[in-house]
Amino acid sequence: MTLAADTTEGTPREPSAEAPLVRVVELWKAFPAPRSLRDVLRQPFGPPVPVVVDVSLDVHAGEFVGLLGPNGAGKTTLLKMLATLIVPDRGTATIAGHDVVSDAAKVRRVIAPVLASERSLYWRLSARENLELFAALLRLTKDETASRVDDALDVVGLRDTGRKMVGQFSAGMMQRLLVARALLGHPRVLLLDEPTRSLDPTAAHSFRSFLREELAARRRCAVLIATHRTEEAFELCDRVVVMNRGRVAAEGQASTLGETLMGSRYAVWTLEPNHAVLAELVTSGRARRVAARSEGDGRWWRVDLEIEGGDDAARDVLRSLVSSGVSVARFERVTAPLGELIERAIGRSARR
Amino acid sequence: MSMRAAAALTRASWRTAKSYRVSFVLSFVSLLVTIVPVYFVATALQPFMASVIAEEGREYFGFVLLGTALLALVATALSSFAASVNGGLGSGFFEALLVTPTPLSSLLLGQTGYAFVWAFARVILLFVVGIWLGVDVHWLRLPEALLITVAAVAAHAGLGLIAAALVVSFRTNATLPQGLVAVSTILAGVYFPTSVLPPVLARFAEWLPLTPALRALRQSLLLGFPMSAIAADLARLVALAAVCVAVGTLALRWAFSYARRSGSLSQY
Repeated sequence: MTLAADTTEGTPREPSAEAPLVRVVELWKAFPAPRSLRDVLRQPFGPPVPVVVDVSLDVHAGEFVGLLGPNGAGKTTLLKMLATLIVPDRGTATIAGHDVVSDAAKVRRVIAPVLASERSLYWRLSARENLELFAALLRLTKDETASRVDDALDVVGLRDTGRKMVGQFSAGMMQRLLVARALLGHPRVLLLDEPTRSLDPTAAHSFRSFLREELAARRRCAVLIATHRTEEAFELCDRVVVMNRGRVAAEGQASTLGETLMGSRYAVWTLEPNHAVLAELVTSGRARRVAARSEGDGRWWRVDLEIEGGDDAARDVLRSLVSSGVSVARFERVTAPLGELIERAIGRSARR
Repeated sequence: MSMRAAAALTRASWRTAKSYRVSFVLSFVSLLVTIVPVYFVATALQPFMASVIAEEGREYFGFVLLGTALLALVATALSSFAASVNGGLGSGFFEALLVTPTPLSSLLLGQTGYAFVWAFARVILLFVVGIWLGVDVHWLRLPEALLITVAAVAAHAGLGLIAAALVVSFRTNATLPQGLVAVSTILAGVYFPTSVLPPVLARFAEWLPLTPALRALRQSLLLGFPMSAIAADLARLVALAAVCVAVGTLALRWAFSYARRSGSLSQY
């Protein structure tokens, strides 16, 4: 494995301010396919199944990049290769100029993966004791340990419960503790694997706000987050990489990619799903009707529309509906389901 | 090797064990409850066993006590590495450890440290009770006894590393630790000397690290033999330990390298 751009005659050096903290170039990984005993006996060395295929991406300091894809898309494997837990078959990956294979020990000093679940905490110890343990593993001095444990607990809002046994924590608190554990070493790169998977929607929203404000904005970490939640990727990240079957299906700034892939889908809650003005909007090409379904007591309907032209066009559509006397209880922008988004991404890349 | 990291992991395991107070106290009580009946059975069998064990001790209770104590230590050495790796891989804790800058050797030492400390504590308690019940120990031979114990534990730790390597590579230890403990219990002279075994089994037993370890330990502590008298057994034990540790270390290194390539180090 060779070092990428930040090398001078093979000697790693600290990247410049503009250089990406994470650089992945044509990374490739295949695993042996799970097979029946009969197949193994017939052909002991079957062809491996590619899990990550020619993936390239850069992440800069202070940037939040989302890896969006369904289960089995290769997101976690990619993060684990960057975390030095899995060795790539081909391609290069460098973190702060250090190669993830040949300089794995140096990489571990600058990254903080949050890949493991809350089961990776000592549930019978307090939050503080858990952090003190990892401070020792990170080789912090006693003084550093005391101040950083306090800081980390403070940042994730667990200072008051620092002496409470972790087994008594809620899922959200444990998730915060995992992030606090990752922050102890003052990492430059954070790798987060579905960090809100065990949180309820409210806790997930507040946790996402925390991640964005604390990690990217204040600490200037480069953050790579794997998720299968469309709204999480587009709400949280500066840039989104859509992965499917190990390949990058689409990539771009979250705002523009969201617009391109999801179209502009809006949902209208109305009493008159077949009102003439709705039909007129469709025939005039100002909106495309996607679906309509009855909601709640059966009186109200949710009508999904695709409206090109951004928020201004959506505002015009709403104005037309209201001025025509259509009862509108709610009108909001919605995210497309992940499957649909990936189909569009694949279609888009095929057309290019 | 980072001893501070290893100590921190050991301390965390100790705090966890200590938090289960009832279980913690009961494990000591169960040890006492077990050893007292052994004392009475051994005393009853003393007239029959005296001549059989003559080369390794005079009192059968002392003979069994040393056998049981060393077996407890080597069983820990055999099983704790694989158990800790297996549990850590399953919970994801090992993954969290492996991405820290702490070397693998310190992580393994720390993850198993508490099991060893606990086993030593139980052995010391066994000895205290044994001496209270009348076991005659040659205290001047304590340095030799410690050397034998360390070599025996090292040899079995090497085999334990091989079991851990199997877990890392194939997610099973192929019952290697349990099998070795069973074979050693029957053939290595824990409850009776190997001289009573059929010649074929007795010859095989000499390849088990526990066999020379137990013989040398009993001869030095129970009979007061000097180093020169146990040198052959000690040399055999040290050689076995060197081979087992070397093979175990290489196997574990290979296993982690294989696991990083095959992805079996973590779930995928």
